[in-house]
Amino acid sequence: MILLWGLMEDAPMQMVFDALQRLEAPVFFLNHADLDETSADFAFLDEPTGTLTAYDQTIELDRVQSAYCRPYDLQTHEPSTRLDPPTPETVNAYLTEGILWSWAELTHKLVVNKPSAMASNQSKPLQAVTIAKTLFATPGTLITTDLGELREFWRRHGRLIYKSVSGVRSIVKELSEEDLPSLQRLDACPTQFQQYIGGVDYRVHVVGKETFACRVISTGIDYRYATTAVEAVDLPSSIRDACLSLTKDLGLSVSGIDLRLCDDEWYCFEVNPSPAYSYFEMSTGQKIADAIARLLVTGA
Amino acid sequence: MVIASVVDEAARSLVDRFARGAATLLTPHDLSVAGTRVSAGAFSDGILATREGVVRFDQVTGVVTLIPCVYPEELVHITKENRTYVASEMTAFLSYVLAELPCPKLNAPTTTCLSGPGWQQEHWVTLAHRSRIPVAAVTRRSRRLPREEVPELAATTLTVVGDRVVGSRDEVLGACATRLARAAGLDLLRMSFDRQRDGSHRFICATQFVDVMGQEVSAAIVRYFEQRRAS
Repeated sequence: MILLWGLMEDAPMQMVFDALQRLEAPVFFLNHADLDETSADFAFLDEPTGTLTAYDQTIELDRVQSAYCRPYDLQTHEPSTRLDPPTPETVNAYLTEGILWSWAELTHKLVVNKPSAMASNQSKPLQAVTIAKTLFATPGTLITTDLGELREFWRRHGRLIYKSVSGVRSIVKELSEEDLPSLQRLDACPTQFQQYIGGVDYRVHVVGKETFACRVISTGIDYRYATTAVEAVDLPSSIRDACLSLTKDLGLSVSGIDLRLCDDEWYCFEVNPSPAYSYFEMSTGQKIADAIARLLVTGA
Repeated sequence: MVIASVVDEAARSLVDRFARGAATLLTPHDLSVAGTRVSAGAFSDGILATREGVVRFDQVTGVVTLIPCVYPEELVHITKENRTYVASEMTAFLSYVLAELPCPKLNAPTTTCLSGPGWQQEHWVTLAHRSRIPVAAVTRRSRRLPREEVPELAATTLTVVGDRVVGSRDEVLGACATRLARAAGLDLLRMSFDRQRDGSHRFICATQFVDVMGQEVSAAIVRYFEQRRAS
């Protein structure tokens, strides 16, 4: 039995579900939006045991061989009227979510991905420390509340971008003179600035020991928010191997790695532990969902 | 460097226990002071600007962290609509700085918590079991299921600070406590054991959130850093 935990309207989840159906693998799909009606009764000692009940179906944890988790913030799926004060159903949803996360962390079975490993991109500079230990280059980075330091860093590099320090999704933007008024509030919070790196974007999805690389053709600073085209490409073997080992070093079995090739230098910006690979699969025909399904079935 | 909430009086009293000028308190409010900077590749040149002055990274000889993250509610000086985002940014920044500081840390950060692993009881019990410490399985149930009655038991609470155990002179318990702290990679850990009818003990739970107001614990923390500074 393979546990899928997330939302069916989420394309990556839907595509893995479909791929598992094609493999005729037994699946238990737990809709995140139904956690308020789900019951978990787990015992933790070494390998967790117990039962999970939803949709009048009860499964034994012993039967779960692997799991693919893409849950969302419960607050975005809970009407505010149920949060203040929380209804019994809402309390049940949060409690059940916590129990499932504990299981995902503590089980010896394959979980794509473990919560502690997924948290590796909650601090981008901390994740960059791991990236910097590979053969990938990383852009010059300054985190500061000091306008004078920022001006000096800007003068040195000519062009800068700024983006969030945390895993909170933010649009990467180039720093311009128009930003100067808002920089007067730079002392409110340490803010991350990076040397602008030109070149061509690549997105690499790692699934177990397989890699799927795309070249991203975009004129945007942040290709996620620009008109883009993507095409499947083969990576040099050294870069492919570096993607595999970086994913492993971060404790992940599936990842989405953002690279940029600039003057024969491969820069790595970020590793996404829960990649929305569906856009790339639909654009290139790469069989990423099939690979995730195989990984879940074989466990390796 | 003691990292704590601005309203944490125990943290202030811990700072006061060190020799004058030897310890400094860093609160989330200090992260809203102009002058902080850190560059990738030149981490040791980094500085934290605080309301009390400047802390150079290469001068920090030890860290104890008393907050799991920066809470939005504490950032009253930030506009309400930006507090959640700024709290996430500050947490991520501290997570990076605390992980990279090369000095001794009583409770090094993890990817999920600034002051250690931030685990639930089931994580601690599993680790204790894997460390060959007597435990009982932890049951977790959704609210929809009937609650399990858990008998109240007299508990012994110990705190590990480095090589010292505060709270019990029982050598067996002390050895278990030290083993669990080592397995968790922590030099600061509070844990509880219950007493069985046969006189043996069983691990119940642990937390890296320690009452630093206690005389013995705070003295052990001061000694921990002084010894490492001397060596």
